[in-house]
Amino acid sequence: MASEARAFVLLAAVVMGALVWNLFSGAFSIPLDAMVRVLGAALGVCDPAQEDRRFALVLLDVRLPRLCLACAVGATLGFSGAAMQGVLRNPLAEPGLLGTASGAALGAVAAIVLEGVLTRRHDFAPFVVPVAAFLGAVLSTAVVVAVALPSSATLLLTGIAINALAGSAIGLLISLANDEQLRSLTFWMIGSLAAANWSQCGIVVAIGAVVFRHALALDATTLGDDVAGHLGLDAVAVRGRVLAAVALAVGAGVAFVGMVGFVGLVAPHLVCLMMGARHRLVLPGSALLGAVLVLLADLAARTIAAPTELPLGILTGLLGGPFLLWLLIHVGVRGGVS
Amino acid sequence: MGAIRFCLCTVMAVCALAIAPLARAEPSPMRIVSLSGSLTEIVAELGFADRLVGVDRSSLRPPELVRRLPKVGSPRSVSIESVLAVSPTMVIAYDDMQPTETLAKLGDLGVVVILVMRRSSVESAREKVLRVAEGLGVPEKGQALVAAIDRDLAWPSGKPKPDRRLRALFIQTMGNGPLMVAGGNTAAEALMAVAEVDNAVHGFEAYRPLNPEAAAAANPDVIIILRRALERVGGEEGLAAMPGLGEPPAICEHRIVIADDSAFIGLGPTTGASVRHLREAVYGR
Repeated sequence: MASEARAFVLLAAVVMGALVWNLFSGAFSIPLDAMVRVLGAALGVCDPAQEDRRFALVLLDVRLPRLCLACAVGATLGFSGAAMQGVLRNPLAEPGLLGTASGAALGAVAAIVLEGVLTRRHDFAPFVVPVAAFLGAVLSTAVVVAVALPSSATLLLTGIAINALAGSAIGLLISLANDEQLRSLTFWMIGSLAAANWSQCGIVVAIGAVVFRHALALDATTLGDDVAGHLGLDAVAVRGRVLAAVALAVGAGVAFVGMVGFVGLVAPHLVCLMMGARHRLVLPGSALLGAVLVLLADLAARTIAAPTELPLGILTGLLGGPFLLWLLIHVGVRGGVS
Repeated sequence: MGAIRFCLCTVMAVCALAIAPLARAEPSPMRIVSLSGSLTEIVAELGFADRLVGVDRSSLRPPELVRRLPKVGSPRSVSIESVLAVSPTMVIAYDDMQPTETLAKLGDLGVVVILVMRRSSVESAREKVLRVAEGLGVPEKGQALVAAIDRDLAWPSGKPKPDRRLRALFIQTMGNGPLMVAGGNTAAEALMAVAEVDNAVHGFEAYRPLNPEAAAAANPDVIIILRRALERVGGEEGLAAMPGLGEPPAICEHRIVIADDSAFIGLGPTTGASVRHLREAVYGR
């Protein structure tokens, strides 16, 4: 028990460290005293100073919402991966494998390529792609679950089929796209937090929090042990509810930041390797670790090549892959989440 | 035996039919396929619009013309069969076209291939026009078009140059990711320089995603943005709501120039007019 608590404190400390590191780095350098004044003014402690206007703009409208969205999306992907691995009893399950991510990508790409047909009015234009991505994620997961809910073995296979279908449809749409559309959808496919704002944070945090509570409650009944096995139909319903919740949460995250691969797969495994496969720990632990992964990857994305940006979805893999390999070599496999 | 002879005859007849358009190519009028948006515009501008029989998907102008023409491929993947299907006598393309074998094969089949170099300088707009005009056999029309472009490019005589050059951010794409902006060695930067405008961002080449904080640090006086990008982000209000574009002088003083894709990226016959438009929008002269 003490070691669990220690591990959690350690993870929370790492999240805080990553947050602070992110807060102090960026292409726009903000002196420490200005940062303290701006944050103080934002919290109502002191009056905003006129000369800090630009610092306040960068810190409050660019850097902080981006930090929050990185945390929220990372945590969502982390616990979604853990919940899926637990529910499906398959260590390879993750939002990507069940077609959630590829469905979102198909929705977004279709919206970008077919936008001339979809949007006659330009006022809606900024919302079309996120909404299409969200619908794509939810729909594709719904198809997978509806086809294969009775057995988790066919569930994965159905997910693979949907992935292949979505991948081909995306390829087809890409071949129809013009140069300008290609540039837009490339960015969507490799993920980016650059467009983060407070309303996006709010939506992802709100949906994520509801789903997280839901998943935690389920954890006690089904993930803990195999009791659910002889609950029969009920276990199927539970599985469907968790998958639906995960699709909602991942759909919301992916709708705003694009494809961020690997976090959902790797975060639960890292937590298991570090803390052992105790289910009560794996969900919150994966959420924390997912947040750390995305925070660090985004830190690299926005600072290494400044003033330009690197693609986030590629950096999460670059960061998570070697870490997983290192843990596998040094700690060894103590078993998956299932 | 008779059946075999029949088959052979059929095969030969089909072959003859297939080759027929190529064999007839010499005396019949010119049939042109253009494989790039700005090249299509040049062909149309030189008075050969009615000779175009096929274009690629990047050809958007003149709209009433390209709408009814068959599309033979995307800029980076041209299908040789689609090109041959419209039986061209001449194909006009960039030298970096993909797949590279396509143009060689077309040449082997007797199609005249006019290759144009792709470079990001204002000079290349002139070169392109001259090269295409020469290929079409109307060099004097090319000279006239270049002269028209040059008139627009030149700073109007008798008007003083600005005391302070303004700094512009050229935005190519935006939406759910970072701003895609023009760095060094781009057509956009070259056009800005002709209009006496400086690039607000430095330190990288080509079109790259710009960090929003770097956009705030650049604090541009002018924003030049492609029409489609501005529409996607929801107009001028949407632009001001983008992270990092809160309140630079460009937004506060409404110095937003809507750029034309083919002029600023493709460098075509409208490049001169676009530079004049930029100069007038920024400096009022």
